[in-house]
Amino acid sequence: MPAPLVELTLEADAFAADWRHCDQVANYLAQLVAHDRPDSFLYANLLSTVLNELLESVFARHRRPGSVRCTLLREGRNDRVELVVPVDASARAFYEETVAAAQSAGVAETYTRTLLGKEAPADLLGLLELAADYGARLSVEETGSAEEIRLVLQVTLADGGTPAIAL
Amino acid sequence: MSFTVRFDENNQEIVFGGVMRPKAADELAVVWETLHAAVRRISGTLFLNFRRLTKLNALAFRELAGMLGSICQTQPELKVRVVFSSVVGWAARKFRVLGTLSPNILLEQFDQEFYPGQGVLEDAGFVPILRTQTKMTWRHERQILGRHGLKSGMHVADICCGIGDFAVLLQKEFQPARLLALDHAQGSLAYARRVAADFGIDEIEYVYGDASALLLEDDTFDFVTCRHALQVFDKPDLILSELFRICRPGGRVYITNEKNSHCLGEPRADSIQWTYNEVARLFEHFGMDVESGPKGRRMMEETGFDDIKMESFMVTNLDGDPQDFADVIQAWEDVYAGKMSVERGDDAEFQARFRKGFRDHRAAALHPHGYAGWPIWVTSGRKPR
Repeated sequence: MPAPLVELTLEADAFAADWRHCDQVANYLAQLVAHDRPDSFLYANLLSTVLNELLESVFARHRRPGSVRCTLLREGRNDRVELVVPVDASARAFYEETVAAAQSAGVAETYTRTLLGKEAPADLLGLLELAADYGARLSVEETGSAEEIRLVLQVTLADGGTPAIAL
Repeated sequence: MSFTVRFDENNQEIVFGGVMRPKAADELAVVWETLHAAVRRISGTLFLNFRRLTKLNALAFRELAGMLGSICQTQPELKVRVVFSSVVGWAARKFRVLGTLSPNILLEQFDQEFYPGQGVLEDAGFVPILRTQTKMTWRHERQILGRHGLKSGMHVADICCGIGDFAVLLQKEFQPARLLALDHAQGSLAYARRVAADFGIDEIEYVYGDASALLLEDDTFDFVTCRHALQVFDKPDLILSELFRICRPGGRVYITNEKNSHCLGEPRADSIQWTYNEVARLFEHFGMDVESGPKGRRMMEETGFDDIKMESFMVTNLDGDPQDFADVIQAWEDVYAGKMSVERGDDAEFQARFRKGFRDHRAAALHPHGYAGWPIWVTSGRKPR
């Protein structure tokens, strides 16, 4: 397991006080770790996109009080994001179901259907998009506490702007 | 969340900019209103320009997709062209699904069409020639740059940096506090990064970008260079206005361009002159103005610069090894006569005469009593405080 590049702990109440924290934290972390990537601008923009979708979901789902811990790790060209999130039973079920959908072979169709359906929560759409468009692998791990989960995303962003599918 | 949305009726275009990461759909009411207003006032094709929208969350994308789907249903005669840039990494991934909503939604990666000459420059065989050209021009520019205001410790951007060799020379000679080198050719950037790594240079930020829609902040750099690039775009004013924007007030933008018809040589001056006049016409055919060097002053004035400085220099066979110059002329012949003239459909008689001028230019460069020249114009302007 590679050593963490950066770890940020946010008090849940403070984090949930303002929606813009998602954007700000995503940008801050992305720029912090992008400096030594071959194309720091492109990489930071993509990583911010990924982190923001994760953080927006956590913003909507996490239980309070508690703390959210976000850790960024790297192994070669691969990035790993770990978010330890305080959850209740409903949020735990949401993440387990979403991860199962994101890991299924038909995730691209599920994502398109969810996008056009307009009924599903936006954070479900965002997490499915990470799997469908970026090939991200999502998983839920136990931390040893029944009141939190570790949401893990593994993705390769270092190849930058190459579209997933040529137009 | 901070985004802009603006309807340009002249171009039938809605231009989006900034960061669109709303918490709730009603924050996008202004987008709906703008779309509705635009649709009422136009016919044919509505252009949606997302090149400057740097961030877009899933909620906003779903709302946009819904709006576009709705418009395509209620206005079946309307075409919607979604324009984005590959520089914004998420855009091509995210927008591709829009193409499935309706056959009337068309996707356009703007920068694919804006960089017609990129294929040639990404050709690995062309790299040594580019390096030789830079070596020849640097002999002059290392002196000229100082006269145009470049000093050590500045924040510098080299836009359209190509294979990045100018940036390396600039880094060594002027030691800027920051040097960002940007280009739209991934192959050239990969080469630039390899060379920098081999030379142990890690101060240069080589980044992928679209010079006509830079994602760099306003008023950022003390000195911005853009060499031999404006002349190969059909909309140089777009790029120049971006260079102006990222330059800080009081800073300077430095451009170089050629006037190919003024390439010259002795002996066989007439043959050489004829060919380079034809080079200018050939580029014009492809929408590029390689005669733009002396137009730099006017271009700078029209963009809003003041304190404009201008000078020219002549790269010649007497500067260094004449074989270097001859090699460069050979590369020009290969590209201009071997590729572009063929693509234009020129007949064999024209091509034979066209090539002869290049051969004569090479002969002049290598002749023990000959002279061969390649003139370049430098213009710089100050962004008013």
